[in-house]
Amino acid sequence: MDGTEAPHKKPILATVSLAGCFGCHMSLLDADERILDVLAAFELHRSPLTDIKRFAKRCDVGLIEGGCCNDENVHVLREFRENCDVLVAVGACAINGGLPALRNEIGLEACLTEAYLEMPTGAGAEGIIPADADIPKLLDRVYPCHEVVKIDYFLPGCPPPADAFWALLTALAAGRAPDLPTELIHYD
Amino acid sequence: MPADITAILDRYGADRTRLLDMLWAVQDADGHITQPAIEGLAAGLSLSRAEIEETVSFYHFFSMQPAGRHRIYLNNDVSTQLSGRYEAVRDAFEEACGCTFGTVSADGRFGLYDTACIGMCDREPAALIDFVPFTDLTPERVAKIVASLKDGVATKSLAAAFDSGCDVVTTRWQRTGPVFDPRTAAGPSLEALFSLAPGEILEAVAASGLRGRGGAGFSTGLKWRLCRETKAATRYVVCNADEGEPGTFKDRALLTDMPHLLIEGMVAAAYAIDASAGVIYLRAEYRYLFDRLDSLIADYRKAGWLGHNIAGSGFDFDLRLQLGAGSYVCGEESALIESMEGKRGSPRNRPPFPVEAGFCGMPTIVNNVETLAAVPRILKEGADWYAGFGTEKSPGTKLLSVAGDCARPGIYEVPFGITVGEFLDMVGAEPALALQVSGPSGECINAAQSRHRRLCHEDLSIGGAMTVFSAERDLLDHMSRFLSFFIAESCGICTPCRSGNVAMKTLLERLRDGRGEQRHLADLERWGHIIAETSRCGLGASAPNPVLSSLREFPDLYAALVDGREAEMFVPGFDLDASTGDYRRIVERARSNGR
Ligand SMILES: Cc1cc2nc3c(=O)[nH]c(=O)nc-3n(C[C@H](O)[C@H](O)[C@H](O)COP(=O)(O)O)c2cc1C
Ligand code: SF4
Repeated sequence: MDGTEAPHKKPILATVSLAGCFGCHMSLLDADERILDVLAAFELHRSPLTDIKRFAKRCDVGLIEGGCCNDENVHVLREFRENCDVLVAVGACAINGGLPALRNEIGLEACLTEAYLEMPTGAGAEGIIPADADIPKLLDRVYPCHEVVKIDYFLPGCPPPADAFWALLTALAAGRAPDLPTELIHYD
Repeated sequence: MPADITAILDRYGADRTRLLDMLWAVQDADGHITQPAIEGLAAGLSLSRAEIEETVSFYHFFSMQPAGRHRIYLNNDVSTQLSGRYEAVRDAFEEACGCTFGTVSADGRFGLYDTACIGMCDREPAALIDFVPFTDLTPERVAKIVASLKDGVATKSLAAAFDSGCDVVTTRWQRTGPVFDPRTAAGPSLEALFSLAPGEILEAVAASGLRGRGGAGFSTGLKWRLCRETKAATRYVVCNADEGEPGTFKDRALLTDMPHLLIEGMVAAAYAIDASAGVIYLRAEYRYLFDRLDSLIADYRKAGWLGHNIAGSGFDFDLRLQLGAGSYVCGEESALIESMEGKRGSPRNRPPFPVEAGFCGMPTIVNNVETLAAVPRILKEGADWYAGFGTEKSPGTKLLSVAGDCARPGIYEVPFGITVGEFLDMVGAEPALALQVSGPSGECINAAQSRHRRLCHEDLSIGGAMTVFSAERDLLDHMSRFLSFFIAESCGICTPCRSGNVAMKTLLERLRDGRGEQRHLADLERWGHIIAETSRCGLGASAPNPVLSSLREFPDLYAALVDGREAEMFVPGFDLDASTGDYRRIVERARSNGR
């Protein structure tokens, strides 16, 4: 900035990975040198990329990777909703539950039994289902984000390619509703 | 004793088109359709096992596993839901039989199953037990019926004891009319028929303005003429007695009380179009009428009105019954023909239409029971007499099957063109919230705002079913059930119908659960149009009707599902406590088991 422009407040971006694999975050980083443009266009606040863990200010945009598989995911998602003007569900898990939601067909009890009580790899061992006030409680099923809070935009993909992130963020930075061309979010 | 496949093949001349009859014979003997029977039929008919199995698996009432020595099919359609006793009756069956719905009791004695409308809508709750109808059920009656069955009482005699000593379900004629009156409908009038030339019959039917009573309202005179004009070695007359549209039971009334009119209508049709054979395709739910109809056909044959050289006219025509096996889509005329040919009831691509290439590729007319039964009345009283009733584009009268929240359910004959208001007053349905006109494939209209609308092809087309909903009803729950009906009955050939109806149901349920948004209402409408426009047959074309029409007629009911949600911080009904409940219970149980 050369000082002749009025001081312009950069929009603030927050990101989080709930029941996801961080693949979407990796894809965002895959923007190569344009990541610098993202940082020029946005101030990055609460995000695994900054390691800021609490909202200290209101954000313009929140990107959510992953759906909700436990109560902590729900708390974090609600926090994002309360602190971000625009919330975007990013990637298959945030939008549909994705891979983690495969357990929805099996049932929680069967999953826990198989994983902790009758695990084929733990022959002879005494199984125990982990439960402690400090560990998140599993939900009955994995929920896509929009079943828990209102979501403003959806960016499909598993993961969405860097170009799609780029198009989304440039639109939001310019205050436009993102309208991505089909080629960018078309995967078959 | 296992079914004698050779004898069964012989009885039906090893004719593939009679596969449904052969499967019924096997199932009647063995209780279900066994693998050896499938192999035997496949060998005898030079078909693959898969061809037999694909047919068996298409039909609701055929099963390849033991299904209980007494099979009980409880109707779960809208009119039974409105009876207020459905849940209690359902529970009573489960308790008395010792098994839940969808299963067979441990001793193999009873099998309990859900089924869609069985045509007893004015006498709900009702069930078919061994294909004999039991109506007006209460939990007490259910207990008695099941106890008697356990004592070895035959199902038929038991039913007679329950329906005031009748071997068939008596019709509630609330209002007879000039065309159909069980007291005055005269006996045979076939002499007069053969004094006419076939062309004169075609003319009379055309002049009467008669239109199909099976739903589509196609001109009967035109259909017959098109068929007659198709050059062919032979032609067929088919009576569509599939009456599958939930809420409809007017064909049952005619088949019970005036079947001679139907037979004479078919003879007239055959004579008019020069057909050699006729078939009455009777829905399996009306199997209890089979023997009565069959013996009536035999009487006509004996009297010389069916068979060779009828009444010395040189005209040959004979008639038989074909029993269906449980499938709504088989009421669609091309699916019905497929089914008559012993196959799955998948609708055909049209054209060619049945009048060009129908049963076994021959020109065929398919007509509804009521259409055919009106013909002898028209021939007797005159085309002008008939056309004098009703409206310009909808001449004549219509039978209505009335059920739901009204004081006088039953059968009514009314002239086309009466208003919704007149109808509601006639059946004692005030105040009504909604009227489902012509069953799930018809329209759901707002009773209060539609009193001026007219029941005729010019305004509200009527197929036969009229279901009244009072203001206490959760209307959208019923719309959702209608979608379930179409999901279950879709033949699955086209994707929009097979998957689209599921998508609509999911959207509607989501909205009703409080997890929906404004855009889902628009999505519902979009899906509705896609399905209606891109499906092959009438089932898909009309499946979205209940939702689309109720969206139009009751916008407030739908708006209430999303009201205020957009504005507030939208939490789509997510309950964190409830959704972690399973986990807490599982952990507690594991802990109390020491783990
Ligand atoms: C899914 C579906 C089900 C139908 N079910 C029946 C039925 O049960 N009875 C009937 O007469 N027509 C039924 N129809 C209409 C028939 O296809 C056909 O139009 C009718 O039998 C023609 O006879 P009509 O001209 O006398 O009405 C159905 C149509 C569709 C698409
Ligand atoms: S519309 Fe539905 S019932 Fe009709 S042919 Fe297609 S899938 Fe089958």
